[in-house]
Amino acid sequence: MILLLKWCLCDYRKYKFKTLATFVGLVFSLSLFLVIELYTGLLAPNKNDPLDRFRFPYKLINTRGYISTEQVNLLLKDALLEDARPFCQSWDKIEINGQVRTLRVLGVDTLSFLSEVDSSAVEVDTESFEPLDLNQVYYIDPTSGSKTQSWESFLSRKKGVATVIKAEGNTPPFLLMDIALFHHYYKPINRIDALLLKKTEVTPAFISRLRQPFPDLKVQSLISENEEQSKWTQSLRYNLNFLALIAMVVGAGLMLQFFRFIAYQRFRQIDLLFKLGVSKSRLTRVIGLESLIIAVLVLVISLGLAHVIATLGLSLFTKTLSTFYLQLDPKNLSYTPSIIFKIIFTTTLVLWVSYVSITQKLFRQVTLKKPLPLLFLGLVGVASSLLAIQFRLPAWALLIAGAVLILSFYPIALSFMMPVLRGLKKITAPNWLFVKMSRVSLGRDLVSYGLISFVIGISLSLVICMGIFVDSFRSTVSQWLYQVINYDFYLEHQENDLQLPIPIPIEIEKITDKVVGKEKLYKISRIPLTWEGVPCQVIIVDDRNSIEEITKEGPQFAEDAPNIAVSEPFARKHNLRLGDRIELAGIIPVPLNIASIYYDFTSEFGVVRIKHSLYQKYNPDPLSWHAIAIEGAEDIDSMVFNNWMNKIYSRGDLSLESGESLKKRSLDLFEETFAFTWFVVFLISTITLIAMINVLTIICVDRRQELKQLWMMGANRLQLSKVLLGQLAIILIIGVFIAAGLGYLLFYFLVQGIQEPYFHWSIFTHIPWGFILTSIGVVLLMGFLCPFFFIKLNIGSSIQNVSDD
Amino acid sequence: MIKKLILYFLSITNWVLANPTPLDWEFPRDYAPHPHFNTEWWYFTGHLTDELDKLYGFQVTFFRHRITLVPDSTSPFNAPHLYTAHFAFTDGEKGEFVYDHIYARQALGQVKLENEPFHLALKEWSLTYQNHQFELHLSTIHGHFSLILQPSKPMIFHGNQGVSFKGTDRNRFSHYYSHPRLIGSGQFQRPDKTLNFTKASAWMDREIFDNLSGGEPIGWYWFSLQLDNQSEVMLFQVNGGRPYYSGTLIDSQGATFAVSGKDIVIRALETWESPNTGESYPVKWEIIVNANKSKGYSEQRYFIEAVMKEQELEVSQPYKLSYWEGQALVSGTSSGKAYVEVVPVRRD
Repeated sequence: MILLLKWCLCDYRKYKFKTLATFVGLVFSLSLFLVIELYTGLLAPNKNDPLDRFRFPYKLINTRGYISTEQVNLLLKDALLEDARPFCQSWDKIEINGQVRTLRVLGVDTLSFLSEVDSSAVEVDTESFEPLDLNQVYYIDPTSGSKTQSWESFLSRKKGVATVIKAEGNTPPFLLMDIALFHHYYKPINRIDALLLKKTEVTPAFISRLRQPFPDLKVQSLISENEEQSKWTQSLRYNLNFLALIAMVVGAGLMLQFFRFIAYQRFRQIDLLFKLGVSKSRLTRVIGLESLIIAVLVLVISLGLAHVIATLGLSLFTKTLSTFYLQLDPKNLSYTPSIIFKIIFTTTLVLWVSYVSITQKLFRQVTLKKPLPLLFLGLVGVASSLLAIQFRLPAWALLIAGAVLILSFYPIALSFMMPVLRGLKKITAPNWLFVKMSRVSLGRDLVSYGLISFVIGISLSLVICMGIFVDSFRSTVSQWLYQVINYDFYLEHQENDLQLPIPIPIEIEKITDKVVGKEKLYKISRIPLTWEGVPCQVIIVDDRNSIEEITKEGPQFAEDAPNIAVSEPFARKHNLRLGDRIELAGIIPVPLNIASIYYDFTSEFGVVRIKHSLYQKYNPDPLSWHAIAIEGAEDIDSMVFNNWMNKIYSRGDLSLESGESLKKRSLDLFEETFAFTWFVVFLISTITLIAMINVLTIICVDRRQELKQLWMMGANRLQLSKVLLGQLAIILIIGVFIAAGLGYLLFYFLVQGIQEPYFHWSIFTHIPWGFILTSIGVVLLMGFLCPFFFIKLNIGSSIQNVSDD
Repeated sequence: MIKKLILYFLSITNWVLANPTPLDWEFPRDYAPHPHFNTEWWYFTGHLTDELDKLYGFQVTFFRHRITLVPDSTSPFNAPHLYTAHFAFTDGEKGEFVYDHIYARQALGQVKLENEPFHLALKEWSLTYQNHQFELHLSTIHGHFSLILQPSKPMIFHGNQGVSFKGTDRNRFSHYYSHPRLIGSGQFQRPDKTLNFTKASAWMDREIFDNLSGGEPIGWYWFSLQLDNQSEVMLFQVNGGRPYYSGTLIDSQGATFAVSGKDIVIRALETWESPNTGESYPVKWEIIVNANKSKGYSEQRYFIEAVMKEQELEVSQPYKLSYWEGQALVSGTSSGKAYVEVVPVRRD
């Protein structure tokens, strides 16, 4: 048995270049699969999160906004909330050791919370008789061991007293402060995000008693909150899972084809073994063992490579996509039992499929004759998967639908290949006879060559899909930017954040009023809000700004009615339609009419636009302005203005920017956002090219006998090249056809099945023909250039082998 | 001569500056909080007897801690004070010790305060002084506890008009007065039964201070003895650095004698280790107060033994704290009852 195995493995040495090409392809595809799995694992809830200490079993939220202190007062008076802890959350950017980090900021009752955490995690002197200090800011860091640290950027802005505390677990660091300090820095007062309840059980009686005075209050359990939170990352996980699926299909295709290639090149060897008296079962066992050795080698190398790629990808991710909601740390890359299980399962599955493939190939030939049933099967698969995305299916069902969509193109590839072969049969022109000969080996193993076309097709389809998606998204965003950014200049704080608006200092506002003229200024105020448990933003706009930018027909409201506009993601997320009425507790105490639903790509969480006069009617206190748009003042020199402004306001973080520059910056940011996606596409494209190289080696090996005969008959190198090129052209062209169809359908699937239900953005289709044609051209060019190199190499060696024979 | 006068003047100045000025006490005004000090407490401990003459012990304490506010913040949570309260109940015969605690910052209506008549309500726990009596009403997790107590002896001030030093450092002191013997009655409505206390004999301590510890970790033993001969003794030993002793003897007529460190001997005769916290607490003591003829009192020797060992309070809110506060019986020069507090020194 060992001797037999040794003999079998000799072939790998003999065809080492081809083996290496296939092997590299396998390693890459499995690595990619692992990389995506690792990323998906990172998105799972962190089990060692030190924040768990602050997570009580239940929390009370207001589904229509914040909990007001009036509500808290009443609840406490009614003794409903014994052991309730106020909780607020926001985020901030601070500079630590020269690096700007986005940190989660928690506002809690530190007087109680700090004593609840493990004393080893938080060192607080609670036995001192000194006054308790609410100005203390705690920086909880899982890595830092130092006790105190000065962060100039934070402390100069916030004037807090910072203490660094080492926490356990793997989580991004966060700031913890007393709710009184938090209210001062981050939130308008009288608002509490949640009241944490230290109850072990919440009874229906408690809930009903609670809801009597406050129907909008809801008790949320920690378990359901985790589910809610996981939705934020669910959409990205979908995308990654989808890519993992494609990587897996490509990898499985390559592996199958690799073992079939081994089987082909060893027909004679196997024949000889049979003649020597080796039984079928023994031979099958040898091939099985051989498959196992290869699978283990591939797995080990892939694990290492995956880790390197994942770390590189993550650093790219941190520089581009990283947001408050999604901060990944390369240190957190870990092989969880789930990932290990998936790796073993996938490897075993592929091993089993390849084993069956070899043994089938050895002992049974599959003959396909009729293309129509295959075409029908493929089309049914495509139709059913497209139909499936019309329904709001759970994640696993969507993935299955995606898998069905991709796999349906395999029978389609086969059904395309059969008529092409029939067409070749009809060639009579003498110059094309060598091309005609391509059909011989193609026809002999349609299953394998169809698979190769399919693998090339799905890899290229991903490039096409991403091309269409990014171009469509970019065009949509660009169009929206040109609609939204239509003033000459914008004045705002450089560190302004969607959920952390920083007001324009009053002195700057006053001087701008005087210098530029009030009539040219359009002031904007932003108020972060949590509505029905989802963060969003209320934008207070100048009365001259129209909020009736109606994009869809709806009922008309009186001008003086409390009309608002909501962004499309807000409407979709909350299933709101034109004409619906909503209440924004803590903002305006009356029901508000949705008079407009407008496109807005600022945030997937949503925006509500309210006119200043409407807001002021119910909130007479002066409003903080977070941005000022300037119209009709094209002659302002932004550099002079900025210098002048920063002389008055020495902190230097206010900036006047032209509308054009703002648009450009937004689009640049958009490009950065997709850098990570392109990184993954690049990996898959690499595999496509490796797959193509692999195809060429197989064709050469597969047709060695045929080439030998032709060579003997006097055919020259050019004629032999034509034979190979003809065969390759068929495979590539069918692959390209598949890529075009599948690429568009994948884009459709990504938008309709994943992006819209989760991000709620309308994306208008925009096909980048130039990019698609270039991508196809590159694949074809690579495909046709490579043979010249390989033909030289392989035909030479084939002929040499023939001479040896 | 001039030099001597200057030195004399300087020494007087130094003495005046080094010795804190006693508060200008006025009652009932000074039952109410003194918000300009960092910390103060209203400490009630005592002995209860039911209709069957069975003995119980109790502790009810309200604490106030000053908070450094967030400047310019109008947050409703930006409260100037934090109030906490502890309750403990001992049934020595049954070997049962229960306790509870609550806290709230003085915000959102959780702390209600009136100065005259003095009324402090922390959530569902309240302390009132009106019509010359104290009323305690506490809705604890173990049941509703209420007591009405009247002073049976005059209020006494410890140290120099209430200035009670806690160490040799003159900055470590509290303003300290006590009602050494309050009598009254009360009730404890427990889920399974109601205990009616026909007799109550309690000790009330008020301490108001900025700095007890001098920034160093400290702990202490504190004793309040109510003796059968109608006299009382208060002694404490501050631990941490070099032990510091102080106390007050109160005779049956209410006359007080301050006792200084060198005249006090406190010996722990037996200790008990808490299985919950691992802390080791003395549960049996010998106390000797040496005679001081100039002050007019003779030697007193007492043996004090806890009615039960397990009288430790372990509090997690708003800060982690564990201490032993328990009922004890007194024998020796005179017999009687006592309450003892042991706060361990933490050197984490």
